[in-house]
Amino acid sequence: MSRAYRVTWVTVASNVNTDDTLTMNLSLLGILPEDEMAALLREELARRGWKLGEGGALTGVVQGLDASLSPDAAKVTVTARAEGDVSARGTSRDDAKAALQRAEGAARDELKAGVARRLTAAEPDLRATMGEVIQRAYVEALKRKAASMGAVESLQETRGSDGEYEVTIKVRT
Amino acid sequence: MSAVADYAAVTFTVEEGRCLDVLAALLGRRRGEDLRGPTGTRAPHPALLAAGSDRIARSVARYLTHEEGHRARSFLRGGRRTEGRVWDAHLGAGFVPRFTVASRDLWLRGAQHLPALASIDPAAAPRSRERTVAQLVPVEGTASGDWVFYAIAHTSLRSFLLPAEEERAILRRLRQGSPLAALLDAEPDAGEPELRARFAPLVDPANARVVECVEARLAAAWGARARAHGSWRLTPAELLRRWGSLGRCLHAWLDVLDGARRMDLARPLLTFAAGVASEVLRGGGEAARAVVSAVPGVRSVGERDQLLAAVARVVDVGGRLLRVRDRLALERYGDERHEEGQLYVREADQRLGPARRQVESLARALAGVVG
Repeated sequence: MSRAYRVTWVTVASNVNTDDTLTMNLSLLGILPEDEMAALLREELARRGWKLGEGGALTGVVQGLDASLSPDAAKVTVTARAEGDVSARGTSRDDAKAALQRAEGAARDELKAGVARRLTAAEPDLRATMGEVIQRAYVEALKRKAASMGAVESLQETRGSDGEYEVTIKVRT
Repeated sequence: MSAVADYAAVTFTVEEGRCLDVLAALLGRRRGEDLRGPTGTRAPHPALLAAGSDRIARSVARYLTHEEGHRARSFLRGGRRTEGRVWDAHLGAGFVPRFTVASRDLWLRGAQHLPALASIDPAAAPRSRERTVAQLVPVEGTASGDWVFYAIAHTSLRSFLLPAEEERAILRRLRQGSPLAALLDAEPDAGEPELRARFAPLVDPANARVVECVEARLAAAWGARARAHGSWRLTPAELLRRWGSLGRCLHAWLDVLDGARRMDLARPLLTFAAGVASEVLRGGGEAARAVVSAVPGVRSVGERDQLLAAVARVVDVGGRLLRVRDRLALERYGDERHEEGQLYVREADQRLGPARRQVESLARALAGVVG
């Protein structure tokens, strides 16, 4: 003889999200006074589409990630976010909630690791991009410094075989 | 009559022979894993004690003179430069490795307990095992000869194949009793103030000869650790712990040398720092960042940055050595540290000078600095 049982499944769902940030400390050579160097850096970033955000921070998108230059131009923070849907089921609401809690923890860990992987994978390009921006700011700073010393006769920008960037400015004083 | 002749005429029992075998294993002259059975050390015969003490003293002397002993090097004596080989009498200035009863106790207690510890069930009687381990290695009142014997035993202990927990505990006791063992092995989990206090006796004029004689061993030991950690095969937490302890150890040692005005003893640090930049992290800062980022198990950028900071601190040993070089280069004739500065600047330029740019760019990249 067989007997039939009726099992009722309760399904619950939620949404988990996580984010992580990568910080790059910027160190600007003191070719011009500190505030002028910071202004040159902001100008260069603005040329690349960065916009003034809340609290005086400049924000932009680099490698598909949200980036922000601190108001003192001392660091760039890059943020990545991720979210995902999680569902779980149990034979009662309490069972389902407990299962959901476990699933949320696992999903959050996985999302967090994924976000960290995205940030660290993009980091070399981000650092190279910021390096270029700073280099352009240096060139502009050197031009201004040279102009303040006298009449600029010639300006030559070259890149050596070892990748070193060289700017030669002749000034008549 | 010499001590050798005194005991050469004595016949030892089988147990006493085993007791000497344990000593040979502690001195790294045979493996300890196959030593089993009673070792008869309850009332050691004076001839056995003489034989053991003689072997310890000879092994210590060999350890101090064996590597690069023939190479003439410059050292400071009373702030003045002097040059010579390890065995040159004028450099020794009466130095003799000093032994206390601790060395003999380590040998006899080791003979009594090590073979038994190796065969014990790890689950059995943990308290009695803890007591045995604590009694095995005397840590108070040790002297220069004991430090070297302990350092040798620290390296050789692995051959006894002890249970992991007991081995760790004995190694820790050996490092507590020997600043040399702690310096060679980069004592884990100790803070820099504690390490500075432990390393300070090594630069005492009465003991500094020990460090002068083991320069090559120090550089090799630290280099081997950095290479092992630099293979990135461990978990992020373990890597953090190991890079962290190496950094703390080396910075504490540098503090002690600079504080004692004995930067002539920084040669192993210079060799190590150059090796880290040109060998362990030879790909440069960006490559090192990429490798650390790819360590399996790193779950967040913060965790990765912590690990990078620990590696950066080890690299910064090189940066600090260069900064000390620049500072001592300003010492003028007649200044207190002039002779030391001249000697150190020459060594720093020779050993670390060619890697200066690599060290500086590594430090910047690992610190995450752009610009």
